[in-house]
Amino acid sequence: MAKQRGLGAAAFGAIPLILVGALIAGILLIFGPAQQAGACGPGASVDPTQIPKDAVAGYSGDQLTNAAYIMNAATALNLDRVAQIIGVMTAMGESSLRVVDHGDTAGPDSRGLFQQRDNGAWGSLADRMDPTISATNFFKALERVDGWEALHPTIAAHRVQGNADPYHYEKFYAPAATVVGTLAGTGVTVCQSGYLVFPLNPGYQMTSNYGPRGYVTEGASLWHAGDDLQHYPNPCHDPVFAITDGTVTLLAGYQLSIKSPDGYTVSYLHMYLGEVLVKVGDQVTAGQQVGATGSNGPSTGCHLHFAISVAGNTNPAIADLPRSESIGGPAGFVDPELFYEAFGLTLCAPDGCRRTY
Amino acid sequence: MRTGHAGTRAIVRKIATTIILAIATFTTLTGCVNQGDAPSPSPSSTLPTGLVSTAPTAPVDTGEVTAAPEAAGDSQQKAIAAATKVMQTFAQPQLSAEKWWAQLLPLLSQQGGVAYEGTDPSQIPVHQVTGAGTVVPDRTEVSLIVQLLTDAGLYNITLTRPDASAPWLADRIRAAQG
Repeated sequence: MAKQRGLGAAAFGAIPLILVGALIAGILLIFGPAQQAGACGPGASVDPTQIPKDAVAGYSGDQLTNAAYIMNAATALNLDRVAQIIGVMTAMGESSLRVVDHGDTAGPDSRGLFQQRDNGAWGSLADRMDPTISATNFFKALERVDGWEALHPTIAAHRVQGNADPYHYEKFYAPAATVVGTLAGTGVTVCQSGYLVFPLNPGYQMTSNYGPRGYVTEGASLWHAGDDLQHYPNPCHDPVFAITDGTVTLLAGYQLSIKSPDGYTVSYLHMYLGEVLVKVGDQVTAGQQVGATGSNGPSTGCHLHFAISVAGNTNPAIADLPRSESIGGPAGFVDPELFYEAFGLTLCAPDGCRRTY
Repeated sequence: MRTGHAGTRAIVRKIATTIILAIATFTTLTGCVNQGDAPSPSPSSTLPTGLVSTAPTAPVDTGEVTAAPEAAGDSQQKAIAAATKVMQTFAQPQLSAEKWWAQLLPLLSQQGGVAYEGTDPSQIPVHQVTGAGTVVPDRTEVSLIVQLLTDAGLYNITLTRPDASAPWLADRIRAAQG
């Protein structure tokens, strides 16, 4: 009895330490370009016989069992959660998580979850058709990719697979993160994909959202084509990060615009130009600091207003989002929160953002 | 008696730990924000996540987003020519990986070079450009997308350059989706 209580007390003291420590580590690791790799924590082992009965992100049954085998192959090599997601993402893009027993036009000899070729690099036909062995060989090849943790997940997968399109796996990242989080029993973690990050460090307030304003402030337009974010009570000089890769196309007045390789443009407003760290023509990467919050232009306090213009967009997932003009707003914008959802992320999640409007 | 002391110590330790960590959390969250002018609000004003419990006054914000200036006609013609050359170079699945990469790399931007390294050209489904290129709207002097018809369907070639005097370089070469 006493022994039990003693253990209980020790555990009681240790748990908050672990949780808060993990929270701090998570917050420090998740954000910022060099800090994103490994942000999702350790890999989890999964019992392949205990698979959810319901579909997860559109995958079910044997597909989820195969995802479990892939996750366990990563864990056996001491690889982390990001590696597990990369493995599941790659198999989604190659085989829809099915042990495919035939090839395709690009590779008639491709087989299995990872569509591994009969070129000696991936073992025997039986090896390539075995979920655990093929996944293990995939992860061993991934580990040989120089600096794979710092690459976008789709580029890391491409270095192993040699696909004609390095970005082929990008759209499978969000469902892979959902499947891995669900099978691990931890739910979907705040794992940023590398292609898309949040514009401020976590713990921000959203002071105004997208759409017709729910209140009327004197001087403010009735329709707000972006989201306002800040860190209260110190909203000024706060690092602003590029949310996607792209090229700086405009830096003038109180606006910085970065056009993504998919064609849409993210604009960051109210920074003082002296605090902007990039210039027109610069290529920036997601998570790179581009400036700091200010109150430049028609604004009464430091905050970041950011807006997403879809003119020139070629990404079907973004093209499917409702356009601002269809709901009474100015032409050409989409809701940043829906934009994040299209990539499997939540801009204003309860653990990193608070709405104050 | 002994158990009671152990329990009390554990609770005291837990409370102390929680307070220290609450302070640590708050410091961590605000440390990168303050940049010098560091007022020190009480840790008790933070929520468990580090979010401050009192609400800011929403700043009045009447900003309008301006579109970047459109690329000159000459810039767009050069972009089409550059994209066509990129596609003709990319669409050589018969080449060895070394030869293919040596030809393509000089036509790629820095990010393009990172992305396309390690590509197996034999997997490329395109053999030739079959139509004239068009420039997708929202074309700027430093970034735009050229669409090209090939024997494997429509492709988007994203081009970038530091300024209007520099050559266009390819960031992405992707089959149009959807």
